Amino acid sequence: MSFWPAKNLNWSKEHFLILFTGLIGLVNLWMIFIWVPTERSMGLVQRLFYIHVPTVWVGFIAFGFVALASALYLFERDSKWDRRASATAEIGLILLSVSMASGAMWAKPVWGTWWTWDPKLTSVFVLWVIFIGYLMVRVYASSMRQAATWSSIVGIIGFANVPIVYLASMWWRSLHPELVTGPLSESGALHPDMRTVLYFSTFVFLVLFLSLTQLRLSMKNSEEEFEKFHKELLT
Amino acid sequence: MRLFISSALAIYIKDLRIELRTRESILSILFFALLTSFIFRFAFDPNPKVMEAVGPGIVWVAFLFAGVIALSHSFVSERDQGTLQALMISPIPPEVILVGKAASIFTIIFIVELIMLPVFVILYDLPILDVWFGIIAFLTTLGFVSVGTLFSAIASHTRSRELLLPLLFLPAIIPLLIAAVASTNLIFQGSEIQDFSKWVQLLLLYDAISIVLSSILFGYVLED
Amino acid sequence: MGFSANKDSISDKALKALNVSRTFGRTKALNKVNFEAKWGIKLGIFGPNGAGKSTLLKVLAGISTPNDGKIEIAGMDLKESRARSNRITGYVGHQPMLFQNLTVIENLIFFAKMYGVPNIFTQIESLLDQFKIGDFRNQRVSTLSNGMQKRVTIARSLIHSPSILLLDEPETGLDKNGIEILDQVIDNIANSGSVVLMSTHDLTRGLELSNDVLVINNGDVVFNDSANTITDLRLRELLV
Repeated sequence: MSFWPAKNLNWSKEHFLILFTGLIGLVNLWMIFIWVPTERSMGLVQRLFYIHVPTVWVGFIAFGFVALASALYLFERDSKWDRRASATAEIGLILLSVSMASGAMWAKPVWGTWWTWDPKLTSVFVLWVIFIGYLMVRVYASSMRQAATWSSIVGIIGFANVPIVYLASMWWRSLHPELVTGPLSESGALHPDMRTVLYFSTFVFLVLFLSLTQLRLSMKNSEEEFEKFHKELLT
Repeated sequence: MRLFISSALAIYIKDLRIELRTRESILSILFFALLTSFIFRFAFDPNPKVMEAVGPGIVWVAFLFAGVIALSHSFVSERDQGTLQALMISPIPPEVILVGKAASIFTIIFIVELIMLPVFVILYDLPILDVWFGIIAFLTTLGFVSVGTLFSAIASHTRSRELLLPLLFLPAIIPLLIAAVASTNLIFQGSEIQDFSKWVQLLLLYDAISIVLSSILFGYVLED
Repeated sequence: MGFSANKDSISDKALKALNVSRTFGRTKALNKVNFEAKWGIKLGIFGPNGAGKSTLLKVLAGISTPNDGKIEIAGMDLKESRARSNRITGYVGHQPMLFQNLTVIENLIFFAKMYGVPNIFTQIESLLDQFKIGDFRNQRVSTLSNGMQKRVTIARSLIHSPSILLLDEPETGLDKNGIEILDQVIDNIANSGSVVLMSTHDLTRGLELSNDVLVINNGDVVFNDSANTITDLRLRELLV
């Protein structure tokens, strides 16, 4: 494949990663939609659980990393941290969106509603909006440095908010238990096969997240190099 | 330490003095809060049971929207006059600027909230003249002003500040909103402090974290 | 007036710019700028529009952060010792940097407090007197003419008796009397050991006033030497 433009890409490492991701992705799809037994009460749509849950876990990990990288950026003022943070934020946002969408698609036939405000969903939603803010603030900034500074601030505050939102909505739920039911409400023990698929799927989405982030990061690194080169040319 | 307090105080007094002369912020906030509460009156079924259920929410939405307006005003004129630059080149640390400005914004919003109390009694017949409500209002306002001042400083740099500020601010204060509405609800129902003490704790927790984080991060916003 | 004489200061150079670069998007406003300013001199900064004069002064004042390079104020790295550098630096830019809805005296008192100035009222009286703005002391800044506002702005920059004064085209907006006062003030400051850096459009006056000259064109330093080594004509040539 000769269409990767930048020369700082480690050609074979990235191809291997994509190939690997693709393969285990296929295996995962097979496991989710064919191999794992159908859930008794919810039926076929329950299979979305194996997409919904892993993506939200990986989404949270992603934003944890964004907050960390943001803090490192502000501390060291090294733009590599900002590139890592923003690449992770973009992919994390996609995964979180997938999570919310799959959750909604699962909830509707099972619980009769697209969305509820149970603590987990509330926290996910707030995190999602905050990270849209993270990306938007970068658009409005007038320089890379400003974009990096502002979004780092949003990322840190945003992520710090999440446990508090979770706590608040948990306490709020105890006030209105009848209003809150959700696909993630504590169900009983999982059948071992289901647990296997859940963990495997989580692994697959983690790998997917890492490879997409790495690809996005490479693009950003190349852009940065190009900018540097361009500036040198101007002087 | 002394210089910290006296500088923050000087900024606080200066802001209030300007506000007193121009009455720019306080009138528009008050007007907006009044408008919001009127609109909600007509948006819901006047059935007293409904009013009881939505009352706390309306109060807090009105206060929050008013707060957004106050916050968006706060840095705009400083930026236009170049006085923010003047503060940057003075030896005072950025945390002092944050404290001084946040304190003045807080005062303005809190005054508006107090003025709105009798309005809510009249419009919605809410038992809002309660000491505990005052405390909840104080803590909640403190929380959203400390986060809001930080985001307002960021948004004031951009041309789409009216969009960016609410976008950043509103999701970040959701825990405050939940805690405020829940505890206000309990207060209106006549509950004792034990029932809503955990909400007060949440507010305190949020305030502590947001004040610390905002103080640390504010300096980075001022750098160009 | 009491400007801090710095003959026994930490460093023999008031100010040093070492390979300072500042880029805005694609444009390089300052390109590896290197120069020094000694105590007690008046340094005139010249350059065509957009050359980078304002950017340079902003970077030296600490308003703008350079992408590259180091700035030393009285021997201290500006990045590390922001507060200490700010304490001895005064800056006048294009914006008035005054609270329009406060009176002249309220503005001066406020900034005096920000700098922790001792003897606030003596200092303010002295400045009001020097700049002949005493009559306006209780007027709101917004009611003053541009010329008077500029005088107040310059007075404000001197409230803490800075040892380093950075002036970005200070004569803009001033009337003839105002310019006379300005020149006198600059002389006084330099004579007491402080350093004045000023950018100006007025080549003749600027050259007359300066001890040293710095010419910037397109972000590069094209001339840096004492004023008596350059003629009016040569200066104009460099600015093309």
